Amino acid sequence: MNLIILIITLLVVAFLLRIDFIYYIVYVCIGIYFISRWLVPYTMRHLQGSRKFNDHAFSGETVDITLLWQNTSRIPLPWLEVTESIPPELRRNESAAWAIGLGSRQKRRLEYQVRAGRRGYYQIGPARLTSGDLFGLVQPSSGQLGPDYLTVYPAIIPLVELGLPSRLPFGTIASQQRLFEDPARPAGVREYRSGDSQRQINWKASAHANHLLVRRYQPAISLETAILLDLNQASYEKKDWRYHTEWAIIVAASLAAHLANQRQPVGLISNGVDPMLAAEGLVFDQDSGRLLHDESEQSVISGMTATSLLPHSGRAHLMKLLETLARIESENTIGLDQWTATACAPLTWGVTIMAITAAGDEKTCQALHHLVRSGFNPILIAVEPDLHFGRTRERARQLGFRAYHVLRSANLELWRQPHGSLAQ
Amino acid sequence: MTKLHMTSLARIDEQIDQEQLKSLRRRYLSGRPMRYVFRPFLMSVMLAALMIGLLAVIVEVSGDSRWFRATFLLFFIALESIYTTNWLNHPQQLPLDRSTYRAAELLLLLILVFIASWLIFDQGIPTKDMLFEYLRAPQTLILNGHFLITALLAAIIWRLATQLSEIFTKLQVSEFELRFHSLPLAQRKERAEDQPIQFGRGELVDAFVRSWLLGGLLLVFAIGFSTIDQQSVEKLTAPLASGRASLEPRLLSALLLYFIIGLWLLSQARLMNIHARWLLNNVNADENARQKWQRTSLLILALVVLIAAFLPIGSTSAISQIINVVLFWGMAIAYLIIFLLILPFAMLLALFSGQGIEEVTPPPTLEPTFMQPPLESGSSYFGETIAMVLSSGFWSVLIIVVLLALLFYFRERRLAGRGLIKDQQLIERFINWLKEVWANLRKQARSLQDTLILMRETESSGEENPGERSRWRFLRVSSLSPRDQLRYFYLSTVRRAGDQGVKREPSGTPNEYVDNLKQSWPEVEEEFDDLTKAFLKARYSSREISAEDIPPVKGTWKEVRRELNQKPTSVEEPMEGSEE
Repeated sequence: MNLIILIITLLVVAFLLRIDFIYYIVYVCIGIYFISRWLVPYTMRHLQGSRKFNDHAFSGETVDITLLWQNTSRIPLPWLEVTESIPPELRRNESAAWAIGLGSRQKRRLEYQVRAGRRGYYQIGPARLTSGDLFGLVQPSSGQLGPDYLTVYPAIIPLVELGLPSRLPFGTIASQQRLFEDPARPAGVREYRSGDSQRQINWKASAHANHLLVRRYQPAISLETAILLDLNQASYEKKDWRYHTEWAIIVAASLAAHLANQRQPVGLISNGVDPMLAAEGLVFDQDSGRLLHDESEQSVISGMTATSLLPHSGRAHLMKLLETLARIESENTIGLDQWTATACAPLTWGVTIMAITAAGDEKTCQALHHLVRSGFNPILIAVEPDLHFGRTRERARQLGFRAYHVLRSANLELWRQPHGSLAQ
Repeated sequence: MTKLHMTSLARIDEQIDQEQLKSLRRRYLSGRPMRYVFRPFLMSVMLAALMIGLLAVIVEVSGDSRWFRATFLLFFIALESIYTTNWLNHPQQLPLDRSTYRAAELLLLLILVFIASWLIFDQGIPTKDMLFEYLRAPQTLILNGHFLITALLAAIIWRLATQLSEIFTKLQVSEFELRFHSLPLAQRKERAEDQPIQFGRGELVDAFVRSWLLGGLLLVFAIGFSTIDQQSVEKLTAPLASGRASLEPRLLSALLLYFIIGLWLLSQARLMNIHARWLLNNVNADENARQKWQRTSLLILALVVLIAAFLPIGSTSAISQIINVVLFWGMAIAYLIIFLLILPFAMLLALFSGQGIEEVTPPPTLEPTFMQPPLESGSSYFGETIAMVLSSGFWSVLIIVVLLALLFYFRERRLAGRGLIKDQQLIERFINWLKEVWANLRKQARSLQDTLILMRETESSGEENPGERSRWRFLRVSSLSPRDQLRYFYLSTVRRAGDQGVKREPSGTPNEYVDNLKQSWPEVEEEFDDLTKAFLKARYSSREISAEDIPPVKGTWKEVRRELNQKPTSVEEPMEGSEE
């Protein structure tokens, strides 16, 4: 504005006083002004940026994020200020703001790291861009590079560290029931061993090989497991509900990972809320930067039902399951005792149901007993400290299922029981 | 505030990462050549260019082109002021009394301006008579048009340079900010109380822009005024239509330099502002971002300057014609509006009066009715002595003050440490010598004061002057030195005796006079002798007189004073009987 006033005044003075050389000064001022006005918006329009990083990480990992900038025009961009928005939960003690200059058709990489400290679904960015002219004659131009998202999986702990027997849950069942093999799905032959049924002998192949060979079949019924995760806030103690629900999610993730590693089908059913599905727009927490359920929305039921993943095997399914566990939040939804029967209805007969909840009160035990009677194989895993868990365990035994008390390592010193007693 | 800053700096100093500090310096601080060479030089050139405009006006008015020679002096003053401001803003100079230093700097610059103006205007080597006249009346030396105007210009450029340098020094990332931000982020959070105080650097940039634009307009107007052809102005009534002299290359260069350097400095100010913001906001700036900025700004300036050189300039250019048309129509519309506004009133007035407007006769010129007071013809011996005393005092004080300013100025700049003045003892001896000179001068001045008092008493003995007497009476004897007190006792006795009619002859010595006194007041003969001896000792002896010597003499003086209130024996009124 000041320069414009100067230009006008100079023009008038040049005209009135008839000093030709002032026109030259006016031209210089006008030239500088128009270059300043044109240069930065032009180069900003020709600026391309992208963000590259591994958008999934396990809790405790460090994620490298790279911002790539390219000036596609021939005009250099004298300065560009890039300020990246990083969720507080992921921040390290380093600045995520840079000031760079981009020459003609120049590329620049800006790298930084975030620390995946806590499970969640985080927004990385947007990166705010500011640039301006070299003389401060025009307002700075701004732009932004849109956000990307990072999923931080919950921590995964080996079963032994959880205080659970490593053969759980399929070991016990395998000892009591045979696996059913489907004769319609042959899987090859093997050497005859003593005790094999004569009907299993492949006579043609034996004749060809000149020794006895027995048919092998793929199992027709695989041993499925569904994790029933109770994230109803009312089920947990008011004081430490956040702490214990987080622990319940870690236990669920650890079990899922363990089963997937054993190539067992595993599913997840939870009465928690997946904010990704429940909310229309993504709402990120101001303090932590995590995606949270918008409490103003009354979509609890839809969120709850949305977190039902039927048992499947495979790595991809595990990742999907862990992603859900990364996002899921505890809410005041519906109690386990009222919800169990409905939740388990889609499951097939014989499925092992690992019910992870705060404690095994009488209602919970009764609900699990109904599952036993329905042909399922429920297991109760309680995550809250309970002095009288022995009674729960005994009640469960009487009702036909097993109960385990899984506490955080900080509590395990007090609450861990001998391995044998846990597995009884 | 100074101590607080130093303490905070010292506290931070213990824990800073030197490598990080170096890295921050490289990224956020201008290089040494830029800070100490290019920027001060260009700022001085810009200000000198501005002053050329003022010099052009002075030349136009006075017709003396020698004024342009002052450009170099003004450039030097601007450079000195910028360097001094930079130096004073360094953290090491925090304990220094800036006002005193600035005062010393100004005094030295004033002397430099005096010498330079003497040389610029070819006043040559002064003759003996001139020197004597300057010694006697220093104001004739100072109250000189050339010197006063040069001093005014020097003061203007000094002030502008100081302001400009202050702006750029404050815009620059300070050492304190660098040190604080070289701490790790966690420590910075812990030491929130040591965080440098934020101030509006944007406002500083605005202040620079404002002053630059105002200066530019002033320069343009000054140059415009200086190019008016005076002869054509006398002929024509419209000043804007007056003839124009061609623009001198000197003025052309000044105009160009002022605006080009100003734009470049504007870019620098913006760069410094942004860099400071980046530092405070923990923005990782590229190490070569500064160089890129400077290169690009210079490139743009050069490009625009080059392109502008090929564009048509002057009243024939298209842009000029457009302005011509706009102004013409603007004026026409303005005249029309004024005419339409005035027309109804004029018609109304014409209806009532029916007469034309009488020609306005010029008012009679006023003759000055007062007379100039006649100048005092000649001065008495007393007046001349006073003038000589005052001028001597003035020159003595001036020389001492200048020497002290010189010493202070260069000592603080640590020239001694850099080998320019190698012998520190020499400086100390010189200072001691100055002190002795000062003490002697004071002694001489006191002596002279007494003599003058005495002379005045002698001169005005016949004329009673109550005002003068009261001044004498209110002299605080205890505040005088022991030597002066003795002299005062004697001189006051002489005065009182004179009042009583026993006057001292101007040519009479104290020993001759004491005989007269003893004759007049024989009751205190011994006291007169003691008083006279004490006076002679105080006046002519070089022996030290301590405070212990005062009380006995004072007692004697009081007795004498009491006795002097009575009439002297020799001048007592004759008795009635004897008359008869």
